[in-house]
Amino acid sequence: MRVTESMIYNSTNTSLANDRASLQAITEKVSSNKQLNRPSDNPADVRSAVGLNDTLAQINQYLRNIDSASSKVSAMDTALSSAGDLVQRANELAIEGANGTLDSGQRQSIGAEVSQLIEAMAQDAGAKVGDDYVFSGFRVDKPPYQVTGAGQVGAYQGDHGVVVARVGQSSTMQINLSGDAVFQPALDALKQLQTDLNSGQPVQQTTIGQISSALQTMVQARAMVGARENRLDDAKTSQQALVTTNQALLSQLVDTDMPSAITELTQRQTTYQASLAVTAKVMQTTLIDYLR
Amino acid sequence: MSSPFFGLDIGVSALHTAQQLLDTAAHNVANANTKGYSRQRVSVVQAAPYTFPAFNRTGLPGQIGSGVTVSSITRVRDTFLDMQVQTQTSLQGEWDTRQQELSKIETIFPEPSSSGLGDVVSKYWSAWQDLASNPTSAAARTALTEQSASLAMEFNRDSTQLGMIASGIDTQVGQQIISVNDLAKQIASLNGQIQRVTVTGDHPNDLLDQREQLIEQLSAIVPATVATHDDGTITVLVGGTDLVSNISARQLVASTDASGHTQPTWADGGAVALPSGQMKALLDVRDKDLAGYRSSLDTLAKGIADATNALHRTGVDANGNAGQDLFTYHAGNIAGTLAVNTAVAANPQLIAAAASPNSPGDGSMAGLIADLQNAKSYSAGIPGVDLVGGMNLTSGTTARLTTLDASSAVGQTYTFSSAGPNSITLTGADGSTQTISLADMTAGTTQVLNFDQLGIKLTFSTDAAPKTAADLITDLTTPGSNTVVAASIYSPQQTGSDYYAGLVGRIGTAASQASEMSSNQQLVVDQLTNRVQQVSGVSLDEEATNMIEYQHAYQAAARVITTMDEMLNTLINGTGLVGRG
Repeated sequence: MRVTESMIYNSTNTSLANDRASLQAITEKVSSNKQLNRPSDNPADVRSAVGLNDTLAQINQYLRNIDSASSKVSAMDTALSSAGDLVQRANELAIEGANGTLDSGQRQSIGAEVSQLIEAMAQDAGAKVGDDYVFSGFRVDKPPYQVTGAGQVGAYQGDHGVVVARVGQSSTMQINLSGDAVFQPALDALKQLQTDLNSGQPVQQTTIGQISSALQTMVQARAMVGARENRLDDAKTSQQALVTTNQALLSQLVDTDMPSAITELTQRQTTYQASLAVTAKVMQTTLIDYLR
Repeated sequence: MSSPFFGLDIGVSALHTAQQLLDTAAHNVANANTKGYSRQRVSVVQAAPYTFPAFNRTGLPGQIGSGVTVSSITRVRDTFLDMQVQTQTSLQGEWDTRQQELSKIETIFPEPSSSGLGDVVSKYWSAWQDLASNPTSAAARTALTEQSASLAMEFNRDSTQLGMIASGIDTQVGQQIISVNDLAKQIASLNGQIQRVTVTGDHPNDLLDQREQLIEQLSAIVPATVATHDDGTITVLVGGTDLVSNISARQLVASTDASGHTQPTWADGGAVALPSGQMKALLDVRDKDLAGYRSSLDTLAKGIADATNALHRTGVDANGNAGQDLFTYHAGNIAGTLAVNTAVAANPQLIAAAASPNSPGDGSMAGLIADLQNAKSYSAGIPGVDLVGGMNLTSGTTARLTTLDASSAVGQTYTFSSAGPNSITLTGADGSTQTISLADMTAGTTQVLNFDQLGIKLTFSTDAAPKTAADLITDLTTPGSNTVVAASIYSPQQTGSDYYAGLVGRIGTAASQASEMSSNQQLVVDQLTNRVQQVSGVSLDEEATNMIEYQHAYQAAARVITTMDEMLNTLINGTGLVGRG
């Protein structure tokens, strides 16, 4: 076979260029720590990675939604706990007021405390997260109950809007409770108690029954809120688990397998150096060097 | 008897020949690195022998050798290899250019990363979810308008960059048209020179090399077919039309098509057929690939904008008014002109997060809009294909269907089996499965099951009798039943994210295929070039050996002349002196 100089030069150039190209490719993988740097690196994997990136973004958003919902639910829980104590106290006062031995003056002074309780109850119903009243349905700009005078509250100012949070790709849950469903029975009972006491007569048994049923409503509401807190916690745990799973999947697709990449890098460097050494040797001599 | 000076003539012819051989060796060495040069070879023959004229054959030894002469100087060239080089160079030019252009497109979609369109779209939907969680938050509203503006800007940027690549291609096509015209003129002019030399019986070696070099350059741009004629001229055909014929060159002109892009046409009318070459690659990338990507980008932009707008208009803003459009665009260039409604951008209170008036805490409309993220409203873009009109089912628990259409998934076999009293599991050739429940059917109705993940649709139609789901399952696995089942490949609906991932995948596949083909084609061209060089290239070792050989021949010829000279000296100065003392 005839081998000419230009064949040697051409093939030397080609193989050196190839060596440099593969050295460059593996260097990019190692230095960027990514084996997918552009769509053509592996179209199918890049496609999956784009999907996973989106999934992860969504899951992180669900976690944000859950956090936002949790702050509302825990504000509701605090308010309901405090309101429960108020109803409890009202119950005690009602039993005290039902005692026939008290005179009307003593009853009216108990009535004054009940007035305080009513105002405090309106205060609890006006629990806020940020600037939003959580018990006002969609009318978050208005407190559910406005104190209109000493021991006096106005009508429910909120509506029955249902605030829903998306806590997963296919799951949503109701966050809020309408203020009138939770606080109205208690407020009505307290108002009745106030009326009873102010009348100077012993507190009626029906009023005591009303208070204990209001207390029941309050306890149920609190249990419901507690259950929601648990559900949010569960949702958070499962979304966090999904983050871990998806990140692992993404990492598998995108991240460079360092040990094998560095081994490959070393191999390529060796190959390149060998090519250079061989080239330097082959290109040095022709017959002309030996002719005198 | 021959003349005593005859030997001198022989010596001189040897000297001349050796001189010529050395000159050619020098020419070869001088052009060892000239691109396209073919080594030249001197054909040396014995000079016509000298027959001593006589009426009858005397004692003479017949024909007498009269030395050596140069018959021709030709180049060593394999024209079959040239043809192969031209064809393969054309293909190489095509894939190489395609690879270059597609890698430019790839940089516009830097996936997977946190800076591409995919990320901006995710953030846009997230902003809606944040607003759904906090409808009264001014910060969430502002964040949403800003995220919407980022989304519009990202679409604008991507669309503009694709447009810039298209106009870059226009410029390149224009330049290539100039190059082709220039090369055609040069080839035509060389044709004339070669013709003049050839008709005198000479070999225009260096002109031929130059012409081949030009054809190779031309082949890279447009596919050139060459026909050689006896007078040394060639006809160069591009797409069946003669670009160069004898000494005349047809010209290409750049014309502008309906969409404002540069198209090559013949100066005397007619479109240019381009089966391969760089120019074809440019036109393909611009008119097919790029146009497809732009239209997908438009589809995505339109999908997001229209779906958002439609819901947003049914919502109520923070002032209690009905929502306006959030996005605006021009139908002709959707992704390029997508923008946030200026009124809403200026006043985020106009974002309609609520479904009803006087409900500042209502983020349900924002929630509905955010849910659009996972709405399957984009077609994957594969037209549906009927697989079988009505299946002829075999008995047993499973039945198979095989794609009949050659253009779709060739030979894909799907197996379905019952996965319970009323559900079917379809298994694809790659082992992926999907299970779907069947509903009971009333008489004469049809039921469609979409196996989204596999892209297969099964259509059940019943005869006059109603069928329960269990009946249908039984029918499926019983031959000769009255239920007709038709299966077709259909284009599954995708979410926006899937659609975008599909677009990125398409770009990646095209770029990686082009890159692979380009390096394969480079290998073919390199090998062919090597073979050309093996035949036509100059070997310095060989030339050095030849030079020594010719040098010795020259020295020997000179010695012959010296010897002859000495003989003549003896004859002239040393004879006829008998007795002179």
